[in-house]
Amino acid sequence: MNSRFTSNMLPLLTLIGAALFLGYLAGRVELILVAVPLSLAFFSAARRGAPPEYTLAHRVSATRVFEGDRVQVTVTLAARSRIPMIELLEPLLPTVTLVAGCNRIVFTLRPGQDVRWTYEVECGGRGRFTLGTVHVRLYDASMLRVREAQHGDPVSVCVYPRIAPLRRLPQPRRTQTSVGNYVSPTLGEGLELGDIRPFAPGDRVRHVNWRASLRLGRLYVTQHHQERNADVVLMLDSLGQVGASPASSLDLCVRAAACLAGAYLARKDRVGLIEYGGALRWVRPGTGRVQLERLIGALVTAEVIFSYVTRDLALVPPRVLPPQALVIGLSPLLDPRFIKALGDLVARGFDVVLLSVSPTEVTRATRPLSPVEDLACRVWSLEWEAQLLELRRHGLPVLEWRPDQPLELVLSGLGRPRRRGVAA
Amino acid sequence: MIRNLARLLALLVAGFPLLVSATVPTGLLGLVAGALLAGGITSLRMPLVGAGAVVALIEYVVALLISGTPLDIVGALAFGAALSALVQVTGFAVCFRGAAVNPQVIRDQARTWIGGVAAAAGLGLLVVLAADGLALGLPAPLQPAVSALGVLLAFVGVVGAALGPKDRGPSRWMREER
Repeated sequence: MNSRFTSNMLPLLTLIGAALFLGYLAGRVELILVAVPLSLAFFSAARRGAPPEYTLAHRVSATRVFEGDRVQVTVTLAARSRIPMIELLEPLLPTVTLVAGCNRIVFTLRPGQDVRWTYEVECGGRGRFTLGTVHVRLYDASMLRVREAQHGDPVSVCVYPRIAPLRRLPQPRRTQTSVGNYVSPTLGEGLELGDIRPFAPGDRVRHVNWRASLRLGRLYVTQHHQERNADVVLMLDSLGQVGASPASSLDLCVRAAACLAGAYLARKDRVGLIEYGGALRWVRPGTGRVQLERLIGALVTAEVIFSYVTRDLALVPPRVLPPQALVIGLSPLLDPRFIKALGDLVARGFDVVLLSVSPTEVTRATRPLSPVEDLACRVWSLEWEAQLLELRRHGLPVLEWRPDQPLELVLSGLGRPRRRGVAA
Repeated sequence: MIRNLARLLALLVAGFPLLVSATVPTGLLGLVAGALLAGGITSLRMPLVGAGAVVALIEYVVALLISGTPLDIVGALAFGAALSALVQVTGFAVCFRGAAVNPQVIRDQARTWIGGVAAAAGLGLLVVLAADGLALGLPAPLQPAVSALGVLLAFVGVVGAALGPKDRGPSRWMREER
């Protein structure tokens, strides 16, 4: 525990010195008397007593929350000896906003007295932060001496991107072998009627189409389309970003990725993630709630790592990027390396969809722009649209997302099956 | 509330010497002291408050020298107590700026400040009585030398007490906040 004098000590010492000096110089006793109350305050602080004894407990209401959720922090302080003044401070990160109470408080405590201090913070942006490091200052009654300590009971709080429900999603062109919600072009067990064909040994009687059999004079069976799931790989562009957290282009892409992951997993699809940036990171496709947790955990830590090195997608193992998977690129198209990577995937026969966040709208939302900056943004917007047009010309389905639009509205543009029945 | 109390004390400290001698030099010094103290309290800067208090002290000396009044023990003790309270009250406001202060803290602190003023008054009277007794027992030529030694010892004692305890420096948190 550090012990030191406070900033009040210097003016007090100066005044004592000045009073004594002036008193002697002027030959007036009054000045010596003026120094008496000042010296009394000083000597009361110069006396060092035993440090006060206390215990401190820190509790956080939730350790896993979504963006915009609130976390209640409770600190309980129990004094074993008298504490004239204790100041507690829990520093907060800029991504966290104090909404109720105060993260810095001053108490006075009698022996055996307990106090509970509560405040609430709102978690603005995704990420991980730590709560529980409480700085303590113990003042003496004169406020001229202070002891400082730090209590560490760190609790990691994880803020996940908020998942909005999506009803319309880009439909994959190709399905996989597991059971799912998409009508596959292949015939087999299912609900959707596919075809009728003559009865063959081994066919089940319940599949016999009696109406066709009576009309054509021989047994016919009904065939159905299989219902299969799909592999979806979300490819997040973390090569660059514009705007400020929690509304930067990367944050918007992360939010969209979380929503898409939640919606596809609810449809029993296998969903994976590739973070394409300075460091290439991925999550293997999988299904279920655990996979959603895994994906969102990876999205929470997504960040821009600048690098001149271009990561080749050929390095990504096939189990991470399965053949016939639907690849959804999420990017503001700031870096041509991401566009090239998407082009490579299209050339390799992947079903690719690009969801592009408008970088100009994100920039405009950050701060008011000067006329010159506004003009630059308009030119940039034209360039971005020309880029999208070029990609569309090459057959890549592109969805333009301006942050003021709901994501579902943007995705509804590709809600219908595309080139249904092209491949099994 | 604490800042208003500090403003009241600043008014008292800058205005008291004018009660002793309302002249142009003391008025000018009072204005300077008042401006420094007001600036320090408004911006919560201890160096400004310290400077203002020293100017007020000089103003008091000038007022005493100009007026040539006989020894005023109560006035001097009150002025010293007001200076001490001003430093402590402003220090309180500076230390706990932006913090939620429990009302019990202010009640306890007010009690401490009032107790300090009472103790200072008692100690001041004791000092005067002791000095009178000492002066009677000393031959006249030795009195200035003994008083000079007393002042020197008091100052050395104060500085020694301030430098005596080997405290470590302020924490990084403290440095960042200041």
